[in-house]
Amino acid sequence: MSKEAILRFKGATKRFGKFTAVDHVDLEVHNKEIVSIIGENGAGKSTLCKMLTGVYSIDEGEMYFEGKKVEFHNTTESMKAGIMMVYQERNLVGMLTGAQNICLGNEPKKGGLIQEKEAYEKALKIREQLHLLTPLNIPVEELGAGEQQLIEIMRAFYTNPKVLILDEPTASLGEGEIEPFLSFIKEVRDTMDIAIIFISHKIEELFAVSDRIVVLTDGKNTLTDKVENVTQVQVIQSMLRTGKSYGRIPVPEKDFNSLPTVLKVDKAIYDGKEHKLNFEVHKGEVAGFYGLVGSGRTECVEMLYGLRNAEKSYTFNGETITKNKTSTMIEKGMIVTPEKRANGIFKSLSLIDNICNLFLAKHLAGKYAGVVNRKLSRSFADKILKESDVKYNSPNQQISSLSGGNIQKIVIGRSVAIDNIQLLILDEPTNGIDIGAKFEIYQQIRTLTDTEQEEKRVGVILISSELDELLNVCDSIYVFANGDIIQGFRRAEFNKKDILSVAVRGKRVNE
Amino acid sequence: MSRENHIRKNKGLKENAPRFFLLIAFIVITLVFQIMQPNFLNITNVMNLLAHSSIIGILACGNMILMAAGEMSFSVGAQCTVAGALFGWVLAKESSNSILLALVFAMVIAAMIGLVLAFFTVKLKVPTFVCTLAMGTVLDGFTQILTGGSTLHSSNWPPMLTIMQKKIGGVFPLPIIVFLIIAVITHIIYEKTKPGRHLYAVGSNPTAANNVGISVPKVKVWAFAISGTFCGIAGVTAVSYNNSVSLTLGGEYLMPAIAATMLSATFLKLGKYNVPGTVLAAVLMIVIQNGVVNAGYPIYVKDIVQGILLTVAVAIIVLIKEDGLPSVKLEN
Amino acid sequence: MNMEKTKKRSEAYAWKERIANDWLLLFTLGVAVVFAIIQPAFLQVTNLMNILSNACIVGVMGLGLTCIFATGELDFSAGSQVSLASCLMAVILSKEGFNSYFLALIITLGIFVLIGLYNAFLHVKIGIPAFIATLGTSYLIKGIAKSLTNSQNLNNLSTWPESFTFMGQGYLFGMIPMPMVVLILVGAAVLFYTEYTRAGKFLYAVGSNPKACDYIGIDGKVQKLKGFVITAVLCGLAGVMEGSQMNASSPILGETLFVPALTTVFLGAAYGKIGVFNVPGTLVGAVLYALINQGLLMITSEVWIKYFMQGGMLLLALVMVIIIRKKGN
Repeated sequence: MSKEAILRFKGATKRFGKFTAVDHVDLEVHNKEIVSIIGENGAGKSTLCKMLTGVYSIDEGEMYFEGKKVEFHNTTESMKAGIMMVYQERNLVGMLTGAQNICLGNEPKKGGLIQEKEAYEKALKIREQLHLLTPLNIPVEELGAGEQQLIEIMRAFYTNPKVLILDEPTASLGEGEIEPFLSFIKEVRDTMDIAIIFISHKIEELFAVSDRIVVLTDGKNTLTDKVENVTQVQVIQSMLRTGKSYGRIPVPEKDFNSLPTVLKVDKAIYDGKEHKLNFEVHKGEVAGFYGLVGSGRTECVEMLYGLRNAEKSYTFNGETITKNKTSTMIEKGMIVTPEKRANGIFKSLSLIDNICNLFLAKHLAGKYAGVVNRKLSRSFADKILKESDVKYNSPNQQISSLSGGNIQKIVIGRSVAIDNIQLLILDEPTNGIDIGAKFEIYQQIRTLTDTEQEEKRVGVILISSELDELLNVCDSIYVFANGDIIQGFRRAEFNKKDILSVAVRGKRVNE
Repeated sequence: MSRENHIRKNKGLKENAPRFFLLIAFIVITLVFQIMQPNFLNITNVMNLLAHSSIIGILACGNMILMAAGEMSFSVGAQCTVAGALFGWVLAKESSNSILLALVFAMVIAAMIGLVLAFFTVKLKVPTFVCTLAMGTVLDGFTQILTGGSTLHSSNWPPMLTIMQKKIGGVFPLPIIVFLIIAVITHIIYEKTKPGRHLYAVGSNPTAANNVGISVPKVKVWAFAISGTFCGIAGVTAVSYNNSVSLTLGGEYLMPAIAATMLSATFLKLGKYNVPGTVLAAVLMIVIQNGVVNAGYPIYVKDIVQGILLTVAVAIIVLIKEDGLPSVKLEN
Repeated sequence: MNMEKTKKRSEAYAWKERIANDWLLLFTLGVAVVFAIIQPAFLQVTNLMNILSNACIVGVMGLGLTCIFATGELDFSAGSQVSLASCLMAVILSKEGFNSYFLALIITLGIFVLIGLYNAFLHVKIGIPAFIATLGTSYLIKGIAKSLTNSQNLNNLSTWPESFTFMGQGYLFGMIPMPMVVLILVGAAVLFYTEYTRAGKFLYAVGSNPKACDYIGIDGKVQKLKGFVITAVLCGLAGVMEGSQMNASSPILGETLFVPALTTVFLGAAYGKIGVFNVPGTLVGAVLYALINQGLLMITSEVWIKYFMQGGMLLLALVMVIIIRKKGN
């Protein structure tokens, strides 16, 4: 490993409005070295990389490449310099072969015509260098996910990169493909003259593969050291957020054993594999779903809600459900607010429509079935808007003119108003919302579960990537990893470090 | 485990048949017409047929380039007519006699129209199918002006104008040669050159293309320009072959040209537009038209057959391929 | 106190909104004024009624297209559908002894329900992209239309009942042109359907955000099916009107109406606040289109002007819609 860093980033800073995504981060990578960057969701990993490749501009800080100060304005510039990034999602041209995809954009040509043989040979050479066996002469759409990934990595090597950035490279790999992949990366480090940056949130992988580990937390660099100098525990510790102080939400103690169960799930088969999902939600309970990105929380909810084909059998309010359709689940009293706010609202429609579209079946038909009573709609919408404390001008205004926080209040407000609500599932409801609005949402959630009249209490599932939020608001937290629920914690057992370690290691606390 | 000498699973008949659907349909339909009217496959008729399909074929090749890039144009018919009209109009003037100049002029204008379309579609992001329909109507207006409202034929036209009526070796009408040349050039460029490869990448996966540094807007603009040029060639060829400028020419050719391009994606590589398929489909369209008339059936049967053929062919692709056919959508 | 402030803010906002919305309407009135100045005969009541009558066919087509566009899909077979309808009516009524115009109308519209279902089947069930599916359908229908009338334009057949021309040329109460009546009735019905019923709300919802519909249990497939059927039935009606107006049937005239119908739909989208397809807008668009059409006719008789105007208006409407949507973002 050469002494001089090939890529150095000093004091890297990037702000989006008032939010600082990357906060004075120092990063160094040397030739023949694998540096891993680990952090929770939103810690700044991908923002940092986008600054390295020129997708984002640099607000503060200096980048040095091969000793010279540089600033890249777009990916073409960074690629020319030799910085190649392989993204998390696959982007290949399906019907072209592996070799053709590898050479895409820079095909060898003679007399205007592409030299397919030469291209194939060049691709073969790269494959040899990397000691791979992926077939290069069949359309990539016929290859498996893992092989497609390798094609993209080979493509990165086509232009003789000096720095290779891999963003969550094992995200789309199957069980048996991860080990070989990690060995492959280590071999690359040993045999090729490049530096590798490996981004992941899976701590075991990083310990298996890295030379040095960089931990990002809330945009800051909280730990940088050689891998042999740190333990997994230390890394986890440094990943913990400093915890902004929200007000404490009062959470009354309840004896959940005596409360009726709203939802009980054991396991289900979807996406081609069996998922262990052992959890229960009671009336009056806020159950938190925690896990790193891709841990499978949303998929689990989609399965419950009828949005994902699955073989399943779970009990909802005492009824066993094996087949479900979203509209029937809503009638039974389950309602979900989607993770991406854009999926929950009708951008081009008014506030009234956004609220009332959920209720057209029952409420707002006037005397005649099928006809919508406008006055009723309007007053219903007004009621919801008032109850949700939304700031608006007129119920007829377009919803896209409202702030994110207000939009979220509407989405939650309308969901809560459904007839017979039994279980409210909120998927990342406070994403991108300011502190004050977040607090209001927490209060609203607890009101649903702690209301005076016991029969009116509902169950709530709160999916969030902010552990602090869940620790504050929930009665129980279930931790997801790799599509399964690994462990559940009751409020009395809440321990930030333990929970994070389960999420990151994918194993129960004492395993 | 090595898959170095990866032998693709030998796909059975059931899996291979769809790729040849177009060819099978072609052979079957031709045979049917031949049986119905034994005169069908005689030389004069075939040559006549091929001459007509050449004009559609040139349009379809241009359209294929456009669709391969992920775009679409319903104004190719009108562009073709306008180009022909310009050609005829220029040469109708006493002072001009140079066919070559008029040809170049028509092609350049047609290409520029393509650029205007590109401006609306790529730069302003106007919904492409409606925009090209609108432009087509405007172009029809220009044609009206140029031709004075009816079929144009001028005595001022130099005799060389009807060059397309000549036959190579006394047998092959010139348009066929022009078409073949264009088809071959298009095929080579599309399959075997960098620009062609990049074009395909842009249409197939714009993100992937962008990731490797290909400029998606630039490629699309080029595609519009090329498609326009082809329209120009087609229009001029038609005028030369017919010795007149017809108002309705482009309109009649629009649908078969588009259908031919779409049908090409059912040939060999399912879901990928290609030149051989386009050629085959263009000829097939005219075979249907010609055969129907020849067999004594009323002309409208051709519409019905073409409609069913298009629907069935596309249904097959969609049912087989997971991601279906590359298409254009109306966004709200 | 807070409620009052909100209310006042709400009122002021409503006025601003109203002006932004209605600019198209104001523009239409403006155009009418301009034409009236250039050619005073424009303002005669009979002339104005003629305009609305002419707006009828294109307007009814446009209303149908609005319904399918609102769900985010295209229907390319609209033009041929119009032609087919006129031919169907002509042929059904040409049978000796078949005298009921009303019955022929019902049969024709019934067939169009089937056509709509056919389109829906291709797109929703098989999964063919809508524009290709309907393109194929348009060929098919064109051929059938021609086959019905042997590619001829049928003209004033003696077997047609007297009432054949009533819808197209007749007058209600001796004063109001029937086409205008039809436009108003159909317009009102579709307006009611899309703005005041559940089904209409669902239609717009699917086009606005299919994913959001999934989350609240609205079935996009069913809505699209409805959209195709409505389009087909309305285009069928438009074709019937056309046949009645011309006292003839034509297997090809429908296609020439496709671009004007699209224009009314896109003008309508420019009428809405954020560039969304909507029925009230299409109605205004239809009137505007007919106004300009008629006005130009009174000023000039050059054919090419008509083409320029048609294509140009559509382009203009498209650009306006894009600008409005961009601003909305």
